[in-house]
Amino acid sequence: MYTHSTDAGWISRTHRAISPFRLEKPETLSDAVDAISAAGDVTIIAGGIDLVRRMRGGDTWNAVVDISGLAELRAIEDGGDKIRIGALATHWDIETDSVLASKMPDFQMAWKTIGNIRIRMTGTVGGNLMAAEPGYDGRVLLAAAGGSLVFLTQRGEVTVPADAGPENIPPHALLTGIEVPARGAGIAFDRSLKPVVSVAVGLDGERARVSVGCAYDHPQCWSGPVEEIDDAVAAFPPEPRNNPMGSAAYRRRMITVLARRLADRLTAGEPS
Amino acid sequence: MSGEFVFVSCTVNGAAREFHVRPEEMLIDVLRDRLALTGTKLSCDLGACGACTVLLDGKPVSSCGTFAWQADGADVRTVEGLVAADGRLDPVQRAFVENSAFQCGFCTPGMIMLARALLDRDPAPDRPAIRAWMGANICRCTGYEMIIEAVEKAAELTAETGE
Repeated sequence: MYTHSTDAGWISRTHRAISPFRLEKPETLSDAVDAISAAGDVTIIAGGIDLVRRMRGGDTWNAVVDISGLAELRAIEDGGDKIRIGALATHWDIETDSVLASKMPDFQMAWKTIGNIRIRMTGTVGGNLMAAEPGYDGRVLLAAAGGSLVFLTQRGEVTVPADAGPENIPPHALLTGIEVPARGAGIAFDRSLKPVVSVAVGLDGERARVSVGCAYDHPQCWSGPVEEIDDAVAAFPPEPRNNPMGSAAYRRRMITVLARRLADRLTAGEPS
Repeated sequence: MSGEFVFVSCTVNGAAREFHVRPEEMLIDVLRDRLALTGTKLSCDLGACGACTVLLDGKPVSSCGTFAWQADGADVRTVEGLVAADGRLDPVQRAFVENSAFQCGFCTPGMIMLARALLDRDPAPDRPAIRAWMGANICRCTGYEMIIEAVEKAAELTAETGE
């Protein structure tokens, strides 16, 4: 730990130094897209929960684009058959939003399990999703809900389903928000085995969506008739991670157990 | 905006402050190093333990995980700012003292600021709400029970005194 003497005595300073960077603070969406499209290592900061952790771990960037001032990206709007949540909405905004409480209480309750109160009050939807960390829950929940991510690029708006792989994320794109269908699909989520595996199931009539986090490099999703969950999930094409924290066989078994348990809970109408 | 230094204007414990900071400078270093507000403790340096918790516009944040420029235009409160001008402690501070809700005390400023943020939003939280909220911070000594009781006591003191 780095310490030095001041008038107040010996002071310890943050000891995981962050490499210097240039700060950009665009005032419009188009300026933000231009900034992240510029040459060189550029990244985005909003709440900073994930980025600061990464930079403490050694990630370096020439420029950091602060989009926290783009207030238009924070709204949660009722679009009738879907709800649009701005990328700058915090987890706390989702947790306390009245529209989500009335139209998607399952989704809201599941999202409430993310992080602790310090993280939820500062961390944003966009940061959680774009961090693309295998253990983060946002993408898992959004995929189970049948939602999508909306990006702004220099060529216009691009919408990507949440269950699409990372190769579908357009380059130099600014996530402006997410869209969640508000057709009453129930969602149940089990994160009790994190960081080994987490599973979310969305049920819309007879069709189910199963989304799995932690066990792969990025969430894996399946959708189909609810009665096919057991066989389909057991045969998820990619092999789960295999390491001392949890073997691939154990993770695969737990994915199957949790998916069935959550589907049964939703079918029985039990609260998530 | 770009450049080597960033101008930050904010209030810290009610006093207007202005700084030029490097983009990579953290809020906790400004508070402790430049303002000598050493009540805010540096511990894990990862934003995980909550010992460095301060209130930013009323929100509890890890000051070790917050860049100093993120406080621009904001109201920053540290544990020093809870004490009244006449030296009277905040109800949360009094409750922590009365309940001996600390052993080594290193996590205490962060715990107190976290509790203050809770009571600012919910003056009468029930025990599950206190447990869920205070679970954000880590104490390696007390086992948490006395901390939870102190927050309950702080809510009672606040109700009694109207502070």
